[in-house]
Amino acid sequence: MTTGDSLARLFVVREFLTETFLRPPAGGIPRAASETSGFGVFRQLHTIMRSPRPNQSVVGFGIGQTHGQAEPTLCVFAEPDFEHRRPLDETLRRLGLHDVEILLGRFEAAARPIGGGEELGHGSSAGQSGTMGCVVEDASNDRFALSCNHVIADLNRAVRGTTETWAPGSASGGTAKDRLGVVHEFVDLDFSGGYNDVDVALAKPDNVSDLDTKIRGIGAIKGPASSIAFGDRVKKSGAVTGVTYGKYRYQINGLVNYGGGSQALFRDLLGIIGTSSATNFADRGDSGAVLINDNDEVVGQLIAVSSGIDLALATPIDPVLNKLGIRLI
Amino acid sequence: MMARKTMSEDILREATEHFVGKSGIVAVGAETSPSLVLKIFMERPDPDGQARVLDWARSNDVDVDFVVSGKFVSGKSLED
Repeated sequence: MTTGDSLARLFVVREFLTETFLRPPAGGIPRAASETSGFGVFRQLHTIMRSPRPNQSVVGFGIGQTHGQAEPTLCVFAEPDFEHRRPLDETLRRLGLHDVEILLGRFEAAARPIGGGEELGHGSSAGQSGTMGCVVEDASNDRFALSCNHVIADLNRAVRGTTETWAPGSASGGTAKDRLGVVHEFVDLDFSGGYNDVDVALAKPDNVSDLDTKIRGIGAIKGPASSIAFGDRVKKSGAVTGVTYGKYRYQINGLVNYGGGSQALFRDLLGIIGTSSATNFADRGDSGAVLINDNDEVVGQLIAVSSGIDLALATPIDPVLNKLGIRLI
Repeated sequence: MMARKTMSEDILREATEHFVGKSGIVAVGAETSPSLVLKIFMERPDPDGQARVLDWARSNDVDVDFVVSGKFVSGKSLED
C-alpha cells in the first residue's frame, strides 16, 4: 500500500470515527459513507459499528505524521480523564489500526466574555496561568480583570501597557489569538526578605465587553467584606478546582515559593482549610481567585497552596484594593 | 492546648523573624481552634527546629502546635 493509499484510507476512517463518536446517534450509515462509498473500508467500518455509541471522552480525530514516521497515522484527541475507551480501542483493533497516537487535552474556545473563576495567564507560550478573580474599576471608571502578579505580570518582569494577557493561558493551550488585553498595573513582589502584603495585578481588556462581572458558578458579588473571623465559611471559583468551600482557620506569616528558587515572605495571610471532601480547596492554577463569604462579599484573594495539606493562602482583600486604588464591581 | 494569653501581632512577628525560613519552617500562624495557639508550619519534620521553637514559646508563655504542611507553592505553567 502506498502512502497515498494509506492517507486515503485514514481519511475515510477519520470521517467515520468522527460521525460515530462525535455525533449523537442518528441511525443508518453516516453521511460520509455515501460520499466515500468507493472505499471498501467503509463497509467494513459500518459492519463493526452497527450501533454507533458516542464517546464523550473523545473530542477529535485527525491524521498526522507522528513519531517521526514517514507514513501518516491516525490521531485521537481525548479528554485528560480518557477512561471509557474500550469501544474505540475495539474498533481500532478490528480495523488493524495499531499505530494510533492518543493526545490528551481539550479544545477550548477563547470564550468571551470572561468572568471570575476563569483561566487567564501571562502572554507567552511558557507563561504562568491562573485565575481571574473578578472585575474591578479604578477612579476613572475603567474596568480591569483582577489576578495575581505571578499569573499575568511574570513576577515583576511585565511591562505595563505592553505585556499581553491571554485567556485562557498557555497552560491550557492559549496562544496569541487568545489575547484578552495587556497588563495594566501590578504591585511588585519583594523577594529580598521584606514583607509582602499582596500578589496582585490588573489586566486591561482590549474590549471591556470581554469582561463579565459574575463569578463562574457563584454569580454576582456584593463588594468587600468588612471583616472576617476565625471559623468563617468561604468559597471560591478557581480555574482548576472550580467552586469549592473552606473555612478561615489561620492567620499566617509565611514564605511562598514561586519557582526557580524565588521565595517571597508574606504577612497576615488568610489560611483556608478545605471542607469539600471531593477536592482540595484550591490547587496551583487557582491563584487570583477571590474568596467570598456567605453574604457574597469578597474577603480575600488566593495566592498559593500548601504542597502537603489542604491549606490555601490568601491575602485579605482590603490591601489588594487599597494598593491599586480600585473597587470591586 | 489552652492559650495562656492573647496572641499579639508582636508575638507573631517575633516568631516570624525568629523561625520562618529556618529549620524547615515555612510559616507561622495564629489559630483559634478551640483556643489561641501559635501554629508552626514545617516543610518537613525537624526535631531540632521544633525544640528551638518550644524553648522560645516557653519563655514567651505561648502555646504552640506543629503541622507538616510541605511548601507553599504558587504558579502553574505548561511544564506543570
